[in-house]
Amino acid sequence: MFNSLKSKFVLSFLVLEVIILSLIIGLNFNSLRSASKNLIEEKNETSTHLLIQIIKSPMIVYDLATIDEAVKNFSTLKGVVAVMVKDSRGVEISSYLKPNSVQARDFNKLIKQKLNRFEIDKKYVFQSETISLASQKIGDIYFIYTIDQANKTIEYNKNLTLALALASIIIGFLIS
Amino acid sequence: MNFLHKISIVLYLSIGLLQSDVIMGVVPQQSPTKLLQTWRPIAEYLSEKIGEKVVFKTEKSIPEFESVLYSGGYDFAYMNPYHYVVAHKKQKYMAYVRAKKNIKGLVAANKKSKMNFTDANAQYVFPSPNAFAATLLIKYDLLQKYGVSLETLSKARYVNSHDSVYKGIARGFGDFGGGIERTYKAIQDESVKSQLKILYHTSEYPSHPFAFKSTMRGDKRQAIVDALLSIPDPLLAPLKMKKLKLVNNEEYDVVKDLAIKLQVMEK
Repeated sequence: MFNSLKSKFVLSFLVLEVIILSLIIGLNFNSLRSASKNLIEEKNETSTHLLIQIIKSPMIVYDLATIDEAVKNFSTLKGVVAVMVKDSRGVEISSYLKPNSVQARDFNKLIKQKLNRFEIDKKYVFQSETISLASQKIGDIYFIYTIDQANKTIEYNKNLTLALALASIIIGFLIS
Repeated sequence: MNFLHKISIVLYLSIGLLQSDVIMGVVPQQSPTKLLQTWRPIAEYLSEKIGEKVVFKTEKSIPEFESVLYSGGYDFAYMNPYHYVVAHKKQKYMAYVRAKKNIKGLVAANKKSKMNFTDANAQYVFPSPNAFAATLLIKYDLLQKYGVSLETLSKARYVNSHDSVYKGIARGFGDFGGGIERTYKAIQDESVKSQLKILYHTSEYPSHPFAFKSTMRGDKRQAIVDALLSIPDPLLAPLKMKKLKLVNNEEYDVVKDLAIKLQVMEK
């Protein structure tokens, strides 16, 4: 079947196309995944930092109404699943848990692990920050963000790219 | 450009400067969002009635409100009776309107608490040092009737607003909280309200007045007073007020006397 020079040329062309496309897809996919992850991390870091700045002063006097309001407003941001603010003694001051997502008991178990940041089932990210004022710790804040939607978008893009590459190979084969 | 033209431009600009907004200050007893939701419709109603823009203004905390008020920063303001006697003394603010119902302080506690509110070791939570009924009246009663001085024991904590007092007591950040009936009734968070009980009520005093700066034009002030007295019930309902009535400065002499006894005001 591949004895003629023409056939060998077509086969070589297709093999080369597959190799180049695989390289492009692989690199593109990796860079997309890493850019998306960085963007999410940066977004979370910015909003976390903003919330900490807002609640710092109210935390000193236990102005719970202001803290609750800031946490409630923060929870409306896309991707926020749970927030908990604790004072320097570790007593809960304010919290928000998205309905039908995380239980308070499970959230507290994650907090007890005393880790700054880790992924949960490739769906969520747990993050903790210390709240300080004038180099003095006044409390801690804990978050759970969902990365499920970002993962789904990456997966969708990956499948779409693979389908386009396959179509390109088939079209290339037919034309050749 | 002829002379008449120049004069007309100067006159136009002068009138523009004179017709500045009317600033209505409100004591921040609740969170700024809640205050905006309840007071902005009132500012809009007053603007429509008097034909000039009335701007609602509040501050981040009660001490900041006091600072602006005592420097004459509001054309008229809704303030607590103690703020009024000080603002009258410092800036000649005059009370004209107040809610018909008198004000009384209350001591709230967590339902689970079995502590007595006169216990010398009790941790008290108040909105601010000079909140009239929620702080001063309670301190006065504790001292006069039960001989308990919270100042001496340094047991008081100030948490900025009535809402924060109730939330703090419900979540166990204090044993007793000072408040007033109007803000207590306005608690919307059921998880907070269900945790609280009222242990004590103070005596009644004249409620928060709307007081006007002495420099405000008489006709403008009268228009605002008339508009306030005929304010529709649905606008007052979120403030937990039923009717407003006229009031005069002398009614607040009793508050002045109390402030002097508590040594938070000079004679």
